Amino acid sequence: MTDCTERHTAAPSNDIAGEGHEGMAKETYPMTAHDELEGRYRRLMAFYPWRHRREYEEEMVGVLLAAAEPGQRRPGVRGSADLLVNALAVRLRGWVGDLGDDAWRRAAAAVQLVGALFLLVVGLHRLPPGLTAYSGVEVLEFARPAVWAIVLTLALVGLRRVAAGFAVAGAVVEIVHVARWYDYSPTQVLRSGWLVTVALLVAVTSAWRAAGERVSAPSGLWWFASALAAVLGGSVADEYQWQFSGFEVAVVMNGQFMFRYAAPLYLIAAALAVWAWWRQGGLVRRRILALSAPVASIAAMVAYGFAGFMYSSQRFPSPVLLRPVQWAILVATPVLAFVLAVVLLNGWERLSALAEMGRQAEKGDLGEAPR
Amino acid sequence: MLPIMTEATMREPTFLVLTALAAEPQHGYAVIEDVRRITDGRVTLRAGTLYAVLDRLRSDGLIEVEREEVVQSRLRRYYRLTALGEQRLADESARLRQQAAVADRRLRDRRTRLGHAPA
Repeated sequence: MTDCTERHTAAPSNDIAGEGHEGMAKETYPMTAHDELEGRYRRLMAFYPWRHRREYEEEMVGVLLAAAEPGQRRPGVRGSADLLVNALAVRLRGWVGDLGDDAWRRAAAAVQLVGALFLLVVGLHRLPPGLTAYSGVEVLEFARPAVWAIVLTLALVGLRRVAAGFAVAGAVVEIVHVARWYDYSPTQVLRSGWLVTVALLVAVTSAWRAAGERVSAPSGLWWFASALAAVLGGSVADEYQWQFSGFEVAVVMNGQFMFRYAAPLYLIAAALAVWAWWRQGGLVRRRILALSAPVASIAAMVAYGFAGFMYSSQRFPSPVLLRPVQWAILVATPVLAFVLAVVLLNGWERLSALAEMGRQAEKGDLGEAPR
Repeated sequence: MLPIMTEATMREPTFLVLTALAAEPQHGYAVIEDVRRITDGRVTLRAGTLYAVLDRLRSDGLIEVEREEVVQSRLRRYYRLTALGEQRLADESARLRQQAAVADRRLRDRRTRLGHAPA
C-alpha cells in the first residue's frame, strides 16, 4: 500500500468499507469506526502540552488505534483516564521540573539545617524570661530550642528520617507557642506568622531530605552560623540601646548623637549570610531562594495585606479574631508563593538552557569564537 | 513531586520498558506487547503511561530514538537502550536480585524453623 502523507485522503488501518477508496470522491468518504475513535483520541490528546503533542501525538494515536478492538468507536474509561492523568503529569513536570533532582535536594538540605539553626537561636534568645519567671519555667519555652537542637544534631549526623519526625514535632511546638496568644492578641499571632512558616519549611525540607537519596551537608554552614551569631550580638546590643528600631542607624537624642552599635553587626551578618548562600553554587542558590519564597511572602502579606486588620484590631476593647477567608489567605499565600517561584525558576532555567544551546550552535557554525 | 527514578529506586513501568528495549530496539506498540509477555499478562501498559515513561527516559539519556518509519500513514519510532540505560538497568536488576535472594533465604530458614515443607 502506498503511504499517504495527508490524513484526510489516507485509507484507515481498519477499513470497514473495504479495500481502498481510489474510486470515491474525497467529499463522500464515509467515516469508519476507527476514524471516530481516532477523532476522540485526538481530542483527548489536546490535554497534553504542545511540546509533547508535537513530539509524540502521531505515535501515540498509532499505538492507541493498534490496541483498539475492531469496530471500537469510543475510548475506554481506563484508556481515557490514562491519557488524562499522564497529560496532567507531563504538564506538571513541564511547569515545575524535577523536584527530586540533586540540586533541589541540596537546597532542601541547606534550608533544613539553616532553618533549624535559626529557630534554635531564636528559641535560646527568648529562653531567659522563662527562666526568671517566678511562676515557674514554662516547658514550652524550653521545648522550642530543645527540639530544634535535636533536629539539627540528627540532620548533621545523617539520621534523616528521625530528624524529619522531630522537625514535624518542632513545627507543632512553634504553632502551639504562637496559637496560645490568639484569643488575647491575634495581631501577635499574625506577626509571628513568618516564624511559624520557617518552622513548617524546616519540617517540609526535612521530609524532602528523608524521602530520597542522601545528600551531603551543604558547604558554608559555619558562615551562616557566624551570621546568626552576629545577629544575636546585634540583638543583645539593641536591648541595651532601646532607643533604636527598624533600620535606624543613628539618632540625636537630647542634643546627643547616638550611634547604633548593632548596625555594623547586622551588616556583617548580612554579608556572611550572602557569602554562605553564594557558596552553594548557581543551581542550589536559585532553589534556596525559591524555598525562601514562602517565608518572604507571608511576611509581606502580613505587613501589607493585614496592616489594616492589625491597626484596627488593637483599637477594640476585645480582640477581633480572623475570619475563615483570612485564615485561607494566610495558609494559601506561602504555598502559592512556592509554586510560583518554582514555575518561574523552571521557566528561567529552560530559557537559559535554550539560549546557551543557541550560543553553542553559533560557535559551531562560525568555528572557534575569536578571543 | 517525586521522580519516577532515582539512583536507589525505579518504578516498575520504567524497569519493564528498559527490559523490553534491552532485547532489541522496539516501537511503542511492540514495547506494550513485550511488557505483557514479560509479566505473563499481569502488566498492560497504556499509551499515556508508556509515552510519559519514554519521554522521561529520553530526557534522562537512558534511551534514544534509533529510527523512524511511516507505516500506514502513521509515524512509528523505534527506541533503543543507551549505554547509560544499560548500566541503570543492570544496577536495578542487581538490586532486585539481591533483595529477592534475601527474601528467599529468609523464607527457607523460616520454613526450616517452623517445620513447613518448602514450596
